[in-house]
Amino acid sequence: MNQDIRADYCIAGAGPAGLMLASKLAASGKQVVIVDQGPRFTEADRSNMLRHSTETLNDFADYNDSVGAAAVTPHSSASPQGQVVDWPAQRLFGIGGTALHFEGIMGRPREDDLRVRSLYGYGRDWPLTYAELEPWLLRAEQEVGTAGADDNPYASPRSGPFPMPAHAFSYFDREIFAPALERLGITGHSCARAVASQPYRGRSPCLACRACKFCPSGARYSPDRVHVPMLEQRTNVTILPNVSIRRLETDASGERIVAAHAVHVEERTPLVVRAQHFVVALGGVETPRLLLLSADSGTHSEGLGNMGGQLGRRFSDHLHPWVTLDVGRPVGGRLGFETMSTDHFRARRDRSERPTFWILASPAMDWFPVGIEAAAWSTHEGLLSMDAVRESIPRMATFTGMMELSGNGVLELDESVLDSFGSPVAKVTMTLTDWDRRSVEDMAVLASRAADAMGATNASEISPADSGLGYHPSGATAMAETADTGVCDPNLTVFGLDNLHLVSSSVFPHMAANPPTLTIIALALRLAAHLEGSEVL
Amino acid sequence: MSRHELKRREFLEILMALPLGTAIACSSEAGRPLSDVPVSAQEAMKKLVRVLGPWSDAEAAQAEDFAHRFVAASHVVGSYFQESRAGLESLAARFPDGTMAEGELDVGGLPAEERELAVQLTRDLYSLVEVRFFVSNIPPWGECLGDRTWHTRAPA
Repeated sequence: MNQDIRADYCIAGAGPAGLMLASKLAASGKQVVIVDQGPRFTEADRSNMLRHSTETLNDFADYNDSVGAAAVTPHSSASPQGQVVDWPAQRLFGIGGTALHFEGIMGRPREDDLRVRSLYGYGRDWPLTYAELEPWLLRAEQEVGTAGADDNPYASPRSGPFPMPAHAFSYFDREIFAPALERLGITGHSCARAVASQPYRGRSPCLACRACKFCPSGARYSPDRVHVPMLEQRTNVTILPNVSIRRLETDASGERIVAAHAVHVEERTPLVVRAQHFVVALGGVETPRLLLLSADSGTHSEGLGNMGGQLGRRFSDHLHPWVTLDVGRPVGGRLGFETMSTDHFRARRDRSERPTFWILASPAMDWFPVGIEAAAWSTHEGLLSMDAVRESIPRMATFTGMMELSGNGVLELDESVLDSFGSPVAKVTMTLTDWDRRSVEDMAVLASRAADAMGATNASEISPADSGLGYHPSGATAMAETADTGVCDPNLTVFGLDNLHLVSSSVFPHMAANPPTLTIIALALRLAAHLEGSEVL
Repeated sequence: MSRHELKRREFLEILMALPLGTAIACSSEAGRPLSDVPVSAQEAMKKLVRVLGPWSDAEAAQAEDFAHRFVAASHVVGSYFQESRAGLESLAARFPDGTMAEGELDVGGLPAEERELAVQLTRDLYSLVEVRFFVSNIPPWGECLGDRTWHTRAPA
């Protein structure tokens, strides 16, 4: 029997965007339904995952490991090099979304990041200025509880302070990383994190357990711990875990969405949500996929909002290359995350020729498996010195980057691979240009110079140029002024469908070298204000 | 699940994984000194984990617990058992019983398969965060220290 639910707002996706949006819309008293394909994880689940991870020596245990295959949608991918990018390993399905396990880096875009086409001739401009976006970034920092300091000389202006002070720099930052950067004319600064550095709205400060993925103390922001409990208290909010929206139905005119057709993941029984407004907040891969799967026989025959052929175009991500160093002396402990980074190469002015990138470094031992380098560096003339291996581990540091890409990927439906419901999965084809690769070349040079400045005794080769894809899919349903250049307007309303809205990294016209989560949450707050009738532009 | 039950389950899994020939050899050798009884690939692996690991004699129980979990961790060990049973047993036989924390291995003098195993096992062992933390004298992963500034201190 069909289950039929009616609401003012139907939100597809209970990740950080959907839940933040819901928390604001619910305050107005409107009926809100939030639907997510994954489960609601409990604190007991977290404890069990952490215990199981320790018992089985699996440092990479994660939330979706024990979730049924039907709840975790696969996808296919390819790159010109034939590399299959494993996005499902990074994006999570569940109440809280990928923010269940994110690192909590709250990087802001710079002013010029939103105008790369006008200023530098690549990518797409945002239809918003930094001045228009900035107040929402500030509110997002407050909502998630961001620890940071106003010590970044490369950052664009802020209209207010961070809600709490930054985490103290580590011994490594203070004594090894910062001095090395200084010798190269680079300033190291604090790294804003959604990890409480002091008690914040009922959250504990970080207790240095270093198991950030599961965060036993609750210091790191996770939507299911902060906003979901508030939503669960409200009678006008319904959260539906383990329900998958399969298709959005347009009306006869093709100008409105009238229903979201869904299925209970376990029972496979149908469910229909009818609402005044629909919001798709399914992340950088599933958001464009749902729009493609919802094609009708009229205006939206190529997918919702795809009149200009932009749906799935200009897909982007970040590269995350790394270099491992033996610094030659003990590097000290790591809080579980980096406390210093530098935006130096995000502020470069030669962006027409070279991409920007963000750099951070830290003791490696709780983050990167360094045994490969330790064994290689401890083998000489047929002798493998176990003493040398053991002595090198506490000296290991890792230099990592987050690299801007021009955004030439394509997301489309792969009719040859079906999910457990029989629908084509998303297929992503990434294309790295020569321009894209130059940042990796630059980082290799920088890492070598920094290693020398640190007095490092060994350094690995930089990881392959296309390594680290899969964390930050974006751009496939971009906001734009017209349907010829994007899928939704600056207020995140899909072109041609005035009650369908999008909020995820997929609406970014261009993603610079900063993590996307803060901007996603800022856009969710801004969309909530728009839907409630506030002037946001 | 209690710790007792966990060990029992893992023990049963190890028993089930024993190659039939080795199991027969073990049962037929009852009464002989333990050092003379042919060891299984799993026992060889445990022995190697103790030998290559960072533990001292005083940490034998800790080494044993780790080796036990290492052998049970299919995501780590799986590849070794597929192709390297003979190599594991041969490599393990080079170390006297009770050897721990071998200081230096002459991998150049080992047959190719054993040399590759020794290096690969070292890589895997020292890529596990628990071992890295042990080597670095850092408290166990997941244990809250209640000290937000512990990472600021100079290493001992």
